[in-house]
Amino acid sequence: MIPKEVLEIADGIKTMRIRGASLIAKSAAQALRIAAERYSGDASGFKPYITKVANLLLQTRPTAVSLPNAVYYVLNRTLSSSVSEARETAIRSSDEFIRMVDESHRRIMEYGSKLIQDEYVVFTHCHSTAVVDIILQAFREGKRVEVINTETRPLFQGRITLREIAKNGVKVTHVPDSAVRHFIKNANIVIVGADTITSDGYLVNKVGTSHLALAAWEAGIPFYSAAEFIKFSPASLEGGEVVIEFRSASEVLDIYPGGLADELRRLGVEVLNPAFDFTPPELITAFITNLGIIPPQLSVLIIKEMFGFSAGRIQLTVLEELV
Amino acid sequence: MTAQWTGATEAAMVFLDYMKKSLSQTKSMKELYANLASLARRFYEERPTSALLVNTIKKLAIRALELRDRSFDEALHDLLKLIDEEVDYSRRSVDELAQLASRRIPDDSVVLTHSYSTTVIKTLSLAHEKGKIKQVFVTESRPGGEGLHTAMALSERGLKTTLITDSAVNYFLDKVSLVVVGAEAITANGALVNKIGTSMIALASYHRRKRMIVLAGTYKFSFETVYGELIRIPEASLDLLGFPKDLLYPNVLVKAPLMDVTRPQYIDAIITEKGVTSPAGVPLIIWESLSGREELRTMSIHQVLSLLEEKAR
Repeated sequence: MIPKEVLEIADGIKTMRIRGASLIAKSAAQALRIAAERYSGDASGFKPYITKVANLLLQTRPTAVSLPNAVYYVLNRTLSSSVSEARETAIRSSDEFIRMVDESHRRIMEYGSKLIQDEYVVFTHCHSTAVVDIILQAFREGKRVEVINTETRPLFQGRITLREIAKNGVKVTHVPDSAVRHFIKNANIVIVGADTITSDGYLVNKVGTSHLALAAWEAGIPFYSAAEFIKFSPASLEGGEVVIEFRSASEVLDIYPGGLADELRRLGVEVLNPAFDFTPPELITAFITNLGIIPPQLSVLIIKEMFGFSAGRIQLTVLEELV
Repeated sequence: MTAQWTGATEAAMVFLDYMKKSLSQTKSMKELYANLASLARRFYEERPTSALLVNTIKKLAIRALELRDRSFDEALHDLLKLIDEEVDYSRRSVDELAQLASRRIPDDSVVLTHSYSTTVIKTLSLAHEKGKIKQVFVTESRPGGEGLHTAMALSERGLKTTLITDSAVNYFLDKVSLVVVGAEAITANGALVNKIGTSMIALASYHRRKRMIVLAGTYKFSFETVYGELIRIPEASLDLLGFPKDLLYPNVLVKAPLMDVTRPQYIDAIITEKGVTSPAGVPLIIWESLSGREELRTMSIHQVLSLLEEKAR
């Protein structure tokens, strides 16, 4: 019998009421903790039970990276402990995981702000809480930091970043995505967030990130991505492919007069709207992680340290079962 | 005045059309100079990047100044004739260029283009008639969204057309075999001035070893840049960007230049109505086009406009 609170959390993740990589991860760990706490059967039944709960959580958002990471962090430790200690281990490792996610934010903010020197201009794309925190931390430390940020079509997430930074008094220059190369020469450093990082060091992030990386590389400006450990994908270690989500055409066309969009449809123009793109490791200076500043080629280290090499294997097996 | 999404060639045609109507209504030499000066100034201020517009203005103005000792009727007749010749020449050149360029497009091409260019649309349509095009990716081209009009024009002519955001270029470059863009201006060193975003596409395609060709008649070559004149780049308004007013904190600056500059190193070929050249060959063509037209070389657009305005006073 799976507790009602656990089902509620699963539903919240599924319906996107619970959003953002950290919150999803912490909620999943919380759900496992509740499930373990409420378990009243005999010790031998606990491992099958917690695996069932884990599966339920995994099914909510099969493509998110932070969710399976939370589940496998807890599950790996629980399944490898003895029968009598399994329940205790599940509770302890859930707490540990949640504490680590919170702490990783603080660490990334601390490490990242050290990369920003006085009078630096930071270029960023889309919206990332980690990046906003890093910039504001540097600003609070008294550094005269300025920001250039993109509008980030089609959904203009750059405007969220603009508001969060500008309302604190930091000077922001806001530019269209097409102007990235034109303005890169005015920046000293690029810092973006991360959606998923693969074991071979590719960054999957908001579409257009690879443009910014390429322009920075051409201009000799360092390119960083701020990424908590939950963004690294153990499944990619086993050859799991990161599937890019294609979103609706209306996201692109909605800003134009209705007649124009209708005309495009009538004429049979296809509109393709990928949400993310891939930035190759050779364009990335380093990832700002809770374990420190690491080169992209060492992504595999984070996966090993945080999840263990076998995490990806279990994850893929379960995903295959789901399909 | 001119629709935001018109290409440089179309904008120049609109200018000539306005000019013809405006000059036809004049009754004296002074009035003729006044109308010429004010319309030229208005169009130049709106699109200072367009080499075709600058070259056309200079040609008209220099002829008008040469005609200062002639009778009004004679001068008017002469200028209207020149306008007709210019329109005719531009149309013919675009056709010749498109014919030539369509030969350079290989079979089974998947093309990426940016913004709006009459010459690109004509070239791709011709290549499509020869069965050479599998698909065309068109960028939205913020700010302005000219790509939507390009996509419609191509789709209407039967090409398989896919619209993508400016940020998605690198994602789709894997599938692209050739990048084709038009030109606002070609500078003396073979650099391309074109709609903002062109230089990012050029960098990405160079990095991915995709060829990029630029379609630019010699009338798009900026003669003045040989003499060190700089091209001024105008910026988009907040309205064009749809920027929310509540985000205009005093410490926020919104910057949206309409054009950018693509380095010659990233351009594989420039196709003119006279033939295919490399960016390095541009000065040669400029010198050749200018032989015997000393005044077109030596006078800048600013000098020409102020001479006209002096005459109108």
